[in-house]
Amino acid sequence: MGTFTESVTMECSPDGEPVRMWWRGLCHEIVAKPQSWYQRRPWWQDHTSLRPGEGVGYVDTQIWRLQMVRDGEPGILTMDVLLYRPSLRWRVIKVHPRVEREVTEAEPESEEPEFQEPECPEQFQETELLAAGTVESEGTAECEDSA
Amino acid sequence: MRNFIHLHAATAFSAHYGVSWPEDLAQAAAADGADALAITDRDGLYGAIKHVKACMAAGIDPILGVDLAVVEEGERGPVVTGRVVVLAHGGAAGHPGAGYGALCRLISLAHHQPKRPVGLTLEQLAQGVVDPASGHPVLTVLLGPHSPVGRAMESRKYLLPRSKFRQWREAMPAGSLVAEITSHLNTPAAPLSTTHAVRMVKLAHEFDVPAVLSNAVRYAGPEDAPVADVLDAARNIAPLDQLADLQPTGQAWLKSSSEMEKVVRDIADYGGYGTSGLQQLWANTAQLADKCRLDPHKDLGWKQPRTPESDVLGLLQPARQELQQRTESALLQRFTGLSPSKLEKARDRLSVELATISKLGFESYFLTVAEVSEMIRTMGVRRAARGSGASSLVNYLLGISAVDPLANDLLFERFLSNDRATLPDIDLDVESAQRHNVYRAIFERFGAKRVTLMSMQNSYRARGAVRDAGLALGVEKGEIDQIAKQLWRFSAGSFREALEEKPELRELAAHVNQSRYATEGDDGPAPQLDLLVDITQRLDSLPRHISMHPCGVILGDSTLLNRTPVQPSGMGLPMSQFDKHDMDAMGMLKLDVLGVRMQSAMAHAVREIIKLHPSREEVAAHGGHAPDAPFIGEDGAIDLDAVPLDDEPTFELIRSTHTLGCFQIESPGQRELVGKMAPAEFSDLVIDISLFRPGPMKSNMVKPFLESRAGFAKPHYAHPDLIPALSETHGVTVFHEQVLRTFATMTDCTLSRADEFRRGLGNPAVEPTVEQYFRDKATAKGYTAAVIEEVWGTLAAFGSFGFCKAHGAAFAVPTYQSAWLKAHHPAEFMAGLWEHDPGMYPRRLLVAEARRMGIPILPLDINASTGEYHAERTDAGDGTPGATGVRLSLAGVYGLSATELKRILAGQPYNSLAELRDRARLSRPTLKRLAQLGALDSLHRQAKSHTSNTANRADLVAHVNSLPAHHGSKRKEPLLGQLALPMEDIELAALAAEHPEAGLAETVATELDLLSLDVSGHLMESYAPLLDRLGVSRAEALLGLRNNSEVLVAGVRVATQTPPMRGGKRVVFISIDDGTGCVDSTFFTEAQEKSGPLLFGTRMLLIRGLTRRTGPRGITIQALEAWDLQNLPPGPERPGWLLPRQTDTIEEAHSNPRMLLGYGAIHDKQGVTSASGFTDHH
Repeated sequence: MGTFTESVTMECSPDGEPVRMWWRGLCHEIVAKPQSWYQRRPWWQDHTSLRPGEGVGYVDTQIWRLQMVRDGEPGILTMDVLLYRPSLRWRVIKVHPRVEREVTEAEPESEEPEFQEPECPEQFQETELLAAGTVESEGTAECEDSA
Repeated sequence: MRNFIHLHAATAFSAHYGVSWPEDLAQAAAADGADALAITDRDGLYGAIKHVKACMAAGIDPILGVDLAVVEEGERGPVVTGRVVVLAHGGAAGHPGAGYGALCRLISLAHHQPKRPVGLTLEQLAQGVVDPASGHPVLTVLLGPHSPVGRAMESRKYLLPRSKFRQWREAMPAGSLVAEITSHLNTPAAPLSTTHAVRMVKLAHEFDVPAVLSNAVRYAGPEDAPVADVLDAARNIAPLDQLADLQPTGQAWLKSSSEMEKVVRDIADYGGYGTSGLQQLWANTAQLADKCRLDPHKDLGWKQPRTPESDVLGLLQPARQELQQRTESALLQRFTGLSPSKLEKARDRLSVELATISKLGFESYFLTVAEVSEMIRTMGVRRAARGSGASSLVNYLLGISAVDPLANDLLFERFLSNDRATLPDIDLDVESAQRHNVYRAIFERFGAKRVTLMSMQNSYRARGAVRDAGLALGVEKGEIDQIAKQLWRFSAGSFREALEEKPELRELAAHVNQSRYATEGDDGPAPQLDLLVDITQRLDSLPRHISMHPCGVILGDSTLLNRTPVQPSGMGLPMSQFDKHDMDAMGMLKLDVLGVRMQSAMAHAVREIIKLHPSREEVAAHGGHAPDAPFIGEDGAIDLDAVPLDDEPTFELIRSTHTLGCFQIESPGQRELVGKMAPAEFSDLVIDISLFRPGPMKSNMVKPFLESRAGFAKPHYAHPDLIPALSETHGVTVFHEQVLRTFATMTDCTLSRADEFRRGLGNPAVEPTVEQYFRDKATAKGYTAAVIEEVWGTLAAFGSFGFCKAHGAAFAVPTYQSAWLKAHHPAEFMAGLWEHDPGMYPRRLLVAEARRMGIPILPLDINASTGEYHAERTDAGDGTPGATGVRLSLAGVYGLSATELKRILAGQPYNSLAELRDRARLSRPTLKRLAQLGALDSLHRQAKSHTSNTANRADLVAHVNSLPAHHGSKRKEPLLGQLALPMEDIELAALAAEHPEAGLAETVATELDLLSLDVSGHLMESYAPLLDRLGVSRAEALLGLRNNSEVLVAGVRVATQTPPMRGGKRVVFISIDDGTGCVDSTFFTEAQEKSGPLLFGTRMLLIRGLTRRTGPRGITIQALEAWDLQNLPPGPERPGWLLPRQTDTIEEAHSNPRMLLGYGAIHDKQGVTSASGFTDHH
């Protein structure tokens, strides 16, 4: 699983939204409005200090779901990328199966009783595992930084 | 678009929930360009006033609300089903104060729900938002993600949130409900996710309720999110690993407008809204914020004092006239004997005081305090004013204070001045045992709507913080206990610093260092130890809970409960959610009614005196007073406050240093000081008490004072102009009042201005201005640079300490009174001391003191003893009356329950053991303990008196022990109407004499075990042969020894003190009691090392040391070495290890001044300090 957690270089808009990503030497152009959310992490296991001023990015990690086009390839790729704070490092944690059209769907207008909820449970189980792996290595890296 | 205004934010005063201080939140909001900020603490306005202050300082408008629990009827009774935010509308939107008042009442109601969790039902909320006067809503309820509606989204029942929303929409008055949209950007479809926020927007739209945006803030910045986790763990008392409902993300910070815009855009994106929907949300938020802006003055009555209405005080004329009239007539009464010129001075002083009071509008304040004071007096409860209130002639004339400010030369300006418009503090000391009754009486007298108790915030200190940090991290409890035990006397915030500095933490510091490199599974210290230190520091001083303040009572007019929310206190009476820092801002009159055990002890003594001597003549004869002493009532009641302050036997007692039990002057250091100072009049006591403070001790003011007083040295004055101000203390600046006079003398400023300067001393922001002023003005008046330099040096040093003379004078009154009682009515006084235990020593030392004074200690007796210590007449054995003794109290018996005590008292007197068993129904262990303590001896004696039985107490104990356990069955009780026959106690009369009688040592040991007192004899008595063999000197004999004699002393430890030292080296003071008195010994470094661990743990000590004479009646021991008396190293009769090292060495020490200087050097360097210690060892 660790093989997926590769460090990438991200180019962002002034707002902090990803625009372009370099991964494995290739440029990936982001083609749709990215989605993002935060996910908890067990910081008390990963960190060994909480000095005054420290604490940003302890409790949660930002996840970005990006749709992009790889240089010279047809079709759209969807990837989940983690952003670590305060180091602002990016890592790919998941590459979704390739689809031909956009994945995002607009929130249905009317009430859609029971099927709204499972928006992405099965994907998340996997992501969580991946994330846990990365979190550890990142945590250590941060420690060295601060030391 | 206007800048975003946060409407939902908890401060650190939401205990175990909020992380940030109001000041930080307000500054962060203002820095972001917001022009208002709401604080919504959990279930209260705990941080509200601090928030208003912070907003005023930051230049933004305050908004106040509460994050309130919602209660619904569950299957098993009422349960909290969520939380809503309730915001108060500002006066601009209706009647000023109506919104805030409704908020206060709503919160009080939420706390006034017997047998229900704190919170309100929907119906109560719907009712509470309406202003009863206008019928319009003056509060707005925000239905957010934590509300029952928001929580319903967490379930899979899709229709539930909507039906809940409808329920709220229908119940709440129109215009009082909004939907609160919050996204903490959690994983989609989880609580506090944007998808949930979108659903709330939709519901609001569907029900036509405005939606506002919030961020449900818990901390000012993202770096504090982990601290919120720790607080969640502390609140739920569970490690983080096991917590199910941690905050879902770390996004609950006070986000800037641009960050909030991102949140709104996220909501718009998910919900498919365009920019217009986004703008609406933003605009609604701003609109609600505008409606809720508060004007501190109009809405909260900021700094406008409110006192009980004049009709409540029973005034028939305006307060100003009333005050003038009362004080003027009291002036004539109190100062009848005064010369015309002095009377004129008193009149002048009174008119100055009245003018100031009138200018500040505080007349009704003084009348109110006088009313309370008078009420306490008529309750028959002792009271005394303390603090700077004693500086006021008005207070003296109103009977609030017993100290004559003119006779004691006290300055009114120290108490109240035109330059300081804060409500003054008048503190009343009352009998500790009567404090709650006094509170209840105040509630009754002024009405529950005008009175509430004040609360106080209890905050994290090092120990609590490390415990909760450890709990959160899941560190093993034993390990945390071990760490917590080592932490004391520093704040959690300086934990890391302490680790580096404090020797006792060295080991822990090493572990912390190791932990940085440790990994899970190692044998070494827990890997999180370093993190533990950091978390502990982050928790520093965060509030944990509020509790009843030990003395604050708030008095107001009938609007009080519209200005502060109240909740039940530990004693049942309501307490305000505001603490002392909020009083002045809210114009609240706070009266400190402090329970003082010494007052209870003295009241007890006075009652005991009347009981034994129920007439003036008898009391006068018994106490050695003049037969017509005016301070004794016809019935024998002594009015302590009327006792003249120049009683020679009282000062004789004080000078003897036998002051154990006397208020303020019983500690070893004080006994040494009074021994040196030899007080001869009341003002000496005032100085003595003021000198014995950390400040004067630290700055070595005591020695020059004593030397000048004794005439060894000439008093030093920086300039002759200062002689009038400083002569009473021989040139040494001791009192605040003297600082004021010094300022006034050298700069020509007014005294009230001088008091402002004094307050600026020690404050780094203000002191430079004060210094500049002082130097400029004094130079202009022609003082030389050298004089200015010296005087400023004294003033600047004064900044950190100093004592108000009025306070010292107020303290000196009970000091004098207690010494007076000890001098004239010692047995009754001892009974009071034992009953209320006011001092610093264990009760057994005061029993030893009674024994030393020849007061008979009367053992427990099942018929003579009650639940209190009583003075009792004894006979001298030949039918003539003997000395008054003190009868021990049954309440002190180990394991005797309150109900057993009650039954014993109800059933007294008993003629036989059988009667005792039947009526008192004691448990067997209790009965056995009573037998062991000799409480049944009188029954036994009586039974034996007609026989030749020789059974002793041991036989009695054995018999009681063999009785079947008592069963509370009703069947065995005699039928009603069936009288017990007056029979001899055959049971006891027939006891077999088969056990040997216990020796004194064994009896005393039993008494110590069961009573914590040695009654039959002093604990040390059984050691007498050993002590004699060793050649140990007794305390009473020390005074006859020459200075620097080497002696052995022994006794029971009664006090151990380790005051912080200037030089950083520790000095340990140990006082021991050998039955003939107290020996105070001092251990310096070398002696500490020689004596090792027994310095702190051992109860009975044998000490070798040198005598040090401290005054005409004072002598102490400078310890060289100590041993455990119960575990002496083996040796012959007078073992070599006890002998002085070599006799000649000691003689050498005596004859060789350099050796003595060696000790002297240690004294100088370590110059013993602190309130408990003593400065000067020469």
